[in-house]
Amino acid sequence: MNIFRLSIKNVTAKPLSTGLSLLLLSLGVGLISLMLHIDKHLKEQMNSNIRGIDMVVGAKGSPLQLILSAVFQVDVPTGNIQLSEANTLLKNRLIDYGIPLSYGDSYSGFRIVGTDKRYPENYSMNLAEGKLWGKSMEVTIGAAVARKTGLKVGDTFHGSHGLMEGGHVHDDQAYVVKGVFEASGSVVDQLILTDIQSVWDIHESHEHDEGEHEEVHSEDIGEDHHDHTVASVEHAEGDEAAHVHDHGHGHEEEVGHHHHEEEGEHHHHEEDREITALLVKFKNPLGLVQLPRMVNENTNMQAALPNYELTKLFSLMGIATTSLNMVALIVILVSGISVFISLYLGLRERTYEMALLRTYGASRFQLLGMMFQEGLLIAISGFVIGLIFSRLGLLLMSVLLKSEYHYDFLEAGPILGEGYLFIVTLAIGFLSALIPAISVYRIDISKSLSDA
Amino acid sequence: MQIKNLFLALYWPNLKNMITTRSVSFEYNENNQFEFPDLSVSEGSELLILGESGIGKTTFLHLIAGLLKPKTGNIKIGETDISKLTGRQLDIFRGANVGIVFQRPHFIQALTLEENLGMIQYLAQKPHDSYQIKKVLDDLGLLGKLKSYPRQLSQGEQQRAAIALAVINRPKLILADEPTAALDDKNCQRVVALLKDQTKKSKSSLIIITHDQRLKSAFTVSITLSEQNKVVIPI
Repeated sequence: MNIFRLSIKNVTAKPLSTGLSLLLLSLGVGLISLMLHIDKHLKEQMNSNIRGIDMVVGAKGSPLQLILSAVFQVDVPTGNIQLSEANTLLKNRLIDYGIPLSYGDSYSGFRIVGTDKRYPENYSMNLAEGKLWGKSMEVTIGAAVARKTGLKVGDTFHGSHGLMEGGHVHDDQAYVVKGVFEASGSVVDQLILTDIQSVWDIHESHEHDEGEHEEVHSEDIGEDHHDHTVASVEHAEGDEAAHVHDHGHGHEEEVGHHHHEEEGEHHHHEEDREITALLVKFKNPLGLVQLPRMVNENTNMQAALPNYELTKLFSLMGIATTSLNMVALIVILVSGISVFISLYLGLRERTYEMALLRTYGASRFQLLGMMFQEGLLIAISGFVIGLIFSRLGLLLMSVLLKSEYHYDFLEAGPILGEGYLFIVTLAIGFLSALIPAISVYRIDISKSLSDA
Repeated sequence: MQIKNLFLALYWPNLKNMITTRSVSFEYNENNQFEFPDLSVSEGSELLILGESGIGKTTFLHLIAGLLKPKTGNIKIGETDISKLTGRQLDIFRGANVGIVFQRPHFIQALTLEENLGMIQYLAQKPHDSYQIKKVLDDLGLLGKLKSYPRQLSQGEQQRAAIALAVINRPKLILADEPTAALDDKNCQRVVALLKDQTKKSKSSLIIITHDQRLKSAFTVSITLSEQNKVVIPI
């Protein structure tokens, strides 16, 4: 038996008040820790997904929606843009390159994105097995897609129209899995990448079959202005203009850089083709100043800057997280007060006990230490329970987000913010024990014994 | 109002003195001062101090126990002058050499009886000795209450348990402050017998202060404090 064990016994001997303090403390700590994790994770995830992308060009609409759909693949696209217009833009000397994206179909809820090989390169993707797609209808899939759908190299599947599960299935043409990427933590993990040509092909035949009811198409474009011309175009009956479908599918028209001959077969011109979005890398920082404005004012397209939109988004999120953190901090403070009250009231009941301990040889400092230990014990246990709460919360969110957005959310290691949170918690445990500890230190043994 | 209590010293020339006080005085404030007479109690002997409430009995006991500092004079327990000890030294000395039985028994409520005794051993910086704990509790008829919490004990058991706390470290000096005030005759006799018995076993000296006249017959040596600032020596 020693002072430390006595502290533990004292704390556990009052399960109700200790429990209340612990509950409050762990709720506050858990909430803040959860917010810290979500905040950090979202920022990291988002920042890693915009690397190499200075500007996104797409159809007019909400710039945030354009960024969310084209970069993070979480929102529906704003619409389609003319390939010809995109190619004109790419001739600008301030632009290094542009990666075309065409999407609108999915498999098991995972988006099928027609693009070119610079897209995985941009995210430094490595192949876990197989190879990159080659010809039309070949795909390379992200790690999360492989894990959740069980697709392997050599497997085939049919894409379905629309970004949600349950759309019309394109059962006439099957995609073949040619390779699987290693997990990277970027958006590519959640995507099925294919050549822009395949998206186009599939909708071409599709249209021929059921052209009458198809209303929407977004097109994919070969990004490279320099090397190729556009191969083929699809359009909805009657209108060449891109339509945005209400259910948010894009239809792709593809520009295959490789199929010059085929192009002839389609009676489409580059002008008719459409892509969903274009990810642009500037050659020169000056582009940042000139291009967005030029695009937005002089073309039918919209340019959005991922960095700028994300900063806006974070500051919006910031208001929410700040208020939540304030609430959580107040809860922690209240728990500190609860610890204080419990120690202080307990102290009045225990004055005689303290005098008894002093009589039998306990020093002032031992009793002082005992009070601090009791305060800190509650603080530390509350902190640990709070971390457990936050991890459970993360687990829950991870499960929810995976099914909803296919975003992985499982990075539960300790973070720096939690270090500060720990210090704050310790300080509160210490402060709540301060006044009771001082009273114990000053206790008059003789008087306490006579009064009792 | 100034109250002065004078004690007559009792000398036991053949035995080593366990406790000796010399011209001890104490004041709470100007109007509440006490002067205590010199006192000597030899090793292994017993002394009963009788007196009415409010004439400084408990103050005297606390002075002897080192819970209060005398204004003047010195108090020696064995060879140690406790009025010269400070802070931590005094705490340790008190823990190791003095056992006190209070009028109303008090315990560390969060601990079992066994843990209470272990805690007191720890505070006196003695090694944990569960044999001694069991032996003392056995002597007091409390062996079955080893794992009981203090609030689970009956009043009589609590009073006996309080004796266990006082004797567990085999202190040189056992002090009892009105140990029998709340007890009926039967329990009163029992507690006194146990106190004397335990004192003998741990070769301690025993000082009981009380206003309980029932104890008078149980002790050969007793002194009485009176309001007239003098000490009456009983025959």
